[in-house]
Amino acid sequence: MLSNNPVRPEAKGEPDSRLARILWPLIALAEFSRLRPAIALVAIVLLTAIMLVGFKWLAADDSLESFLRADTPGYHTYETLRDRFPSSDLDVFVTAEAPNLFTADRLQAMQDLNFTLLIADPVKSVLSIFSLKQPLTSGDLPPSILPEDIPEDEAKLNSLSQQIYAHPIANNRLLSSPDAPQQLSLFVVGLDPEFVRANGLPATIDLLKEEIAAIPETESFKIGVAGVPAMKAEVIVSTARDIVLFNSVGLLVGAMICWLFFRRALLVLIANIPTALAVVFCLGLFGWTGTKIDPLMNAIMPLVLVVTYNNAMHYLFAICRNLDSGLAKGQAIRYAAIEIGPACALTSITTSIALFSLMFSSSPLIKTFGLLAGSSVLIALTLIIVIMPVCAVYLLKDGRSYLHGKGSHQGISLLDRLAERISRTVNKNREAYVTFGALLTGFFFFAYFLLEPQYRLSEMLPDHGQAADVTKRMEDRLGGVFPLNVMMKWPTGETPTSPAVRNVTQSIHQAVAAHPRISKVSSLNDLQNWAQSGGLAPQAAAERLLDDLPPSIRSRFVDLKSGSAIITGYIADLEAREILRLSAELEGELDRIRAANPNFEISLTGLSSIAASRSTSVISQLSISMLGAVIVVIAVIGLAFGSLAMAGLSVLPNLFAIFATGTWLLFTNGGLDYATVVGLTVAFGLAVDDTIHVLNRFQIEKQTAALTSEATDRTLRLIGTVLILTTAVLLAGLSVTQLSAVPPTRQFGLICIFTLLFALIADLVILPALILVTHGTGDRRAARIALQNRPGTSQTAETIKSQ
Amino acid sequence: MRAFIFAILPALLVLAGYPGTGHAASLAGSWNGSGYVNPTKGKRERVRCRITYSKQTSKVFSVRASCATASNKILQTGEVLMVNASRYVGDFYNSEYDISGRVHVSVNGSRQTVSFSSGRGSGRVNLRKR
Repeated sequence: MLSNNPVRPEAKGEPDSRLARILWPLIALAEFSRLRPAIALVAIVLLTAIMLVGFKWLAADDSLESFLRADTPGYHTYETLRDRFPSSDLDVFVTAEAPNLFTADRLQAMQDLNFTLLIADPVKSVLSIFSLKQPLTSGDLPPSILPEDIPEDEAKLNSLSQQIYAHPIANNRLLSSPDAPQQLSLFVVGLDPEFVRANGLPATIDLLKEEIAAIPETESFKIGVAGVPAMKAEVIVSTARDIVLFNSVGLLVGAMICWLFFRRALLVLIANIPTALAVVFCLGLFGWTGTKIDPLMNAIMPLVLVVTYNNAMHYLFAICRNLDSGLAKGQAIRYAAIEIGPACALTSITTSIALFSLMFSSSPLIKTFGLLAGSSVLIALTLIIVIMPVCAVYLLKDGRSYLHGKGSHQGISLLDRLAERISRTVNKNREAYVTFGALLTGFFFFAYFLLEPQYRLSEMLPDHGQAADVTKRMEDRLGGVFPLNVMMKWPTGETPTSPAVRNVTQSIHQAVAAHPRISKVSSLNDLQNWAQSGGLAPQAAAERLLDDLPPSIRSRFVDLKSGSAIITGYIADLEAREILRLSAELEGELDRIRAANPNFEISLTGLSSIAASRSTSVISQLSISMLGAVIVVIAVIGLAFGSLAMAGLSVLPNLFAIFATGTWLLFTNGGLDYATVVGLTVAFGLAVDDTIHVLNRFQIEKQTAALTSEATDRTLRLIGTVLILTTAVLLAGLSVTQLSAVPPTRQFGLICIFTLLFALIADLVILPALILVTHGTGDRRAARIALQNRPGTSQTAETIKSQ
Repeated sequence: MRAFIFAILPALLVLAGYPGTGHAASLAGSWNGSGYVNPTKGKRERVRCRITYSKQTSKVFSVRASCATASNKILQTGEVLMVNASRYVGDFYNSEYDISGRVHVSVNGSRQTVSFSSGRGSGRVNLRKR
C-alpha cells in the first residue's frame, strides 16, 4: 500500500498546484502561524475571550414569528389582526378530562381550578363553562349557569348539564360531548401580554403549571396544557437544551471517532481544539449580533462542528503523513498547508456559497440563518488555518511516526485496505460504474422533481411534548383547534351594535360555519344569539351585550378603537395546500359578502392561513436558490482548478447526492418543507467538499503519475481513508440533531446525513470512474505508444499517431 | 441612670414589638382568600382574591389585588395608610373599568379582612397570609 511505503524525503519536493497559487494568502497565514506560533496563540486567546463575552447575550427563541414575517400584504394584515386582537396569539388551552365531569366533586374541583387560573398573575382572562350566564333579560345582569354552591342532587346536576350543552359557546367548544368515554372541559386562558413580555413564555407557562399543580382537588382529573403559547414555550426550552446537548455530545462523539482511528490522545486533542473553538466563536457571534437561537439556528452548531472536524482531520492527516514519510516538522507542516489548506479553503468557500444563497429567501429566519451559518463556516476555516500549525509546532515531534507506528490503530489500516479495494474495483469496472451512476442520477432527478412543497403548523412544534399530546386529544373531542380568522372593519359612522354590522358579522359567521372543513366558529354572533334567547330584541340585546360583557371577553370579539370584529373558525392540523384550497373556497364566499357590503373591509387571515401561504412561497424560493447555488459552486470549482473539465467532473457526483436524497424524501416524507430544503442546500455544501478533496488530490498526483489510472489509484488510497473517516465524523456529529424534540432540527439533520452518505458513494466510486473514463483514452494511447516503442517492435511512435 | 433608660428605651420598644413597626412588617407580602362582591347592577357573587402589599414607607403600603368572580378577573392597584396597629385605610383604582374606591383593611395576626366600596359596588374578603 502506498501509505506503507512513505516517500523518501529527498524524493518529496514542495507540492504545487494552481489552487495553492490562487489561495496563497491562506498559505501565508498558515506560514505566519507556523513561524510565529506565540503571536498566533495570543491572538486566538484574546479573540476567544471576546467571543466568550458574547455568551451573556445568548437566548433561545421559537422560530414561528421570524419564519412567517414578510413584507407582503398578507403578512401586514396578520400583523394588524394581532395588534387589534392580541388575545388571538396568547390563548393557552387548559383541559380537564374525566369519565363524567358533571359530578358535584368534579364540578367543585373545576370551579377551584377556574378561580385559581383567574387570580394567577400571568392570566388576563379565562373562558370556561363557569363564564356562561343565564340568558340576558331587561333586568340586572343574569347569574352564571353554574351556581357558586354546586348542588349535590343528581337531578339538578343533569339540569345544569343540559343548560350548559344548550349554550351556543359551550357545546363542542368548551365541553365535549357526553357520549365519549372521557369528557373534556376546556379553559381558554388568555395570558397577560405585559407579563409575557416581562418574563418570557417559558417562565409564564411554568408559573401557570405550578398554580394548577398546587390545587389538590385536580388529582381526580387528567389536566393538560396546550395552545400555541404552550407549544412555543416547549420549543424555546427544547432549543435551549439542544444548544448544550448538540455541542457537548457532538464534540464527544467526534472525539470518540477520532480516538477509534488515531488511537492517540494527542491527535484527538489537536483535531478537537479548533473544533471546540469554532463552536465558541459561532455562539459568540450569535451573542454579539443579538440573534436569538431558534430550532433552525441551532442546526448551525453541528454544521460548524462537522465542517471544522472535516478540515481539521484532513489537515492533521496531511501533517502526520508528511512526518511519517520522514520530513522535518517545519517542512511537514508547510507542505500540509500547501497540499490541504487550499482544498480546505475551497470546501469552506463552496459550503459558504451554498449557505449565503439562502439569503435570497424572503423569510428573515432563513436569511439570517444563511448569513450566520456562512460567516461561521468562514470563521471556522480561519481558525483551522491559524490553529493547526500552532498545535503541530507545539505538540508534534520530529522523527515520530503518528499514523503507522506502534501506537497507531488497525482502523486506519482497515480503511486503507478498503480504499485500495474500491480503487481496484473502480478501475476494473469504470464504464459500468459511470453508466450506472448516470442512469441512477437520471432516475433520481425525475423523482426529485415530483417533490412538492408541504407544511403543517404542528410540524414546527415539539412532537413529543405535552402540548402536542393534549392538542391531539382536544382535536379528537372538540374538533379543530387551529384558528382561521376573518377580520371585519366596519365603516365610520357605524357601531358594533348597528344592524348593518350585526348582519355582516352574521353573514360571515354563517359562511365560515358552512364550510365542511371548519368544525366550529366563534364570534359576537354567538353571543348575540344567546343574548336574544332571553327575549330581548336584537338591538337591545346587542347594546346590553356591549355594556355588560367584561372588557377582557369583549376584546376577544370586538376592537372598539379600530372599529373591527373578528370571526374565528377552527380547523384541524391540515397540510398547507389543503389550507390554501380551503382559503380559496372561503374567499369565494367572502367575495359575495364584500360585493353586498362594499364599505366593509373583510380580510381572511390568521396563523394557519399566513403559515400556509408563507411556507409554500418560501419553500419554492429555497428550491430555486439551491439549484442556483449548485451552478455557482460548480463554476467556482472550475475557476479554482482552472479547468472546465474539473467543473464538469463535479456535476454528476453532486447531483447524484442531492437527487438521491430527494428520492429518499419522496418515498418517506412525501414533500419538501423549509427544514428539508435548507438541509439539502447545506448538505450540498458539505457534500461538494469530498469532491473538491478528490479533485485536488488527483490534480497533485497527475503531476507525477504517468497514467490516469495510477493517479486515481494513488488519490483513492491517500484520500479514501480520510473521506470515509471524515464522513463518519460528520455523520456522528450530525446525528446529535436526532436528539432534538423539535421536528425541523431533526429533519435538517437527517437530510444532511443522507446527502453525505450518498455523496461518499458518489465521490469514492462514480467520480473516480468518471475521471478514468474521460481521461482514460489518453492512457490507452500512451500505453500503445510505450508498447510499440519497445525494442523489437516494428512500428514507430510516429506511425501509430498517424493511425 | 436617666440617660441609660433613654438610651435603651428604643431598643426595648423594638423588642416589645411596638405596633408601629411589627404589624407594618407583617402586612407586607401575599395574602389569599375569598369573600363576596355586591355589584350595583347584578347579584352578589363569590370572589377570590390574592392581595400583595409592598412596603413604601413605615406607614404606607402599595397594594396589588387580583380578584376573580366565576367569570371575570378584576385587577386593582392602590395604596393604604396605617391608622393604627391593626387598621389600614386607602384608595384603589381599577383601570379596566375606570373605577376608583375606598378600601379598609383590618389585620389580626395572619388573618385580615378587606372591605371595599366604589360607585359600582362593594364587597368584603377574608384573607390569610400565604
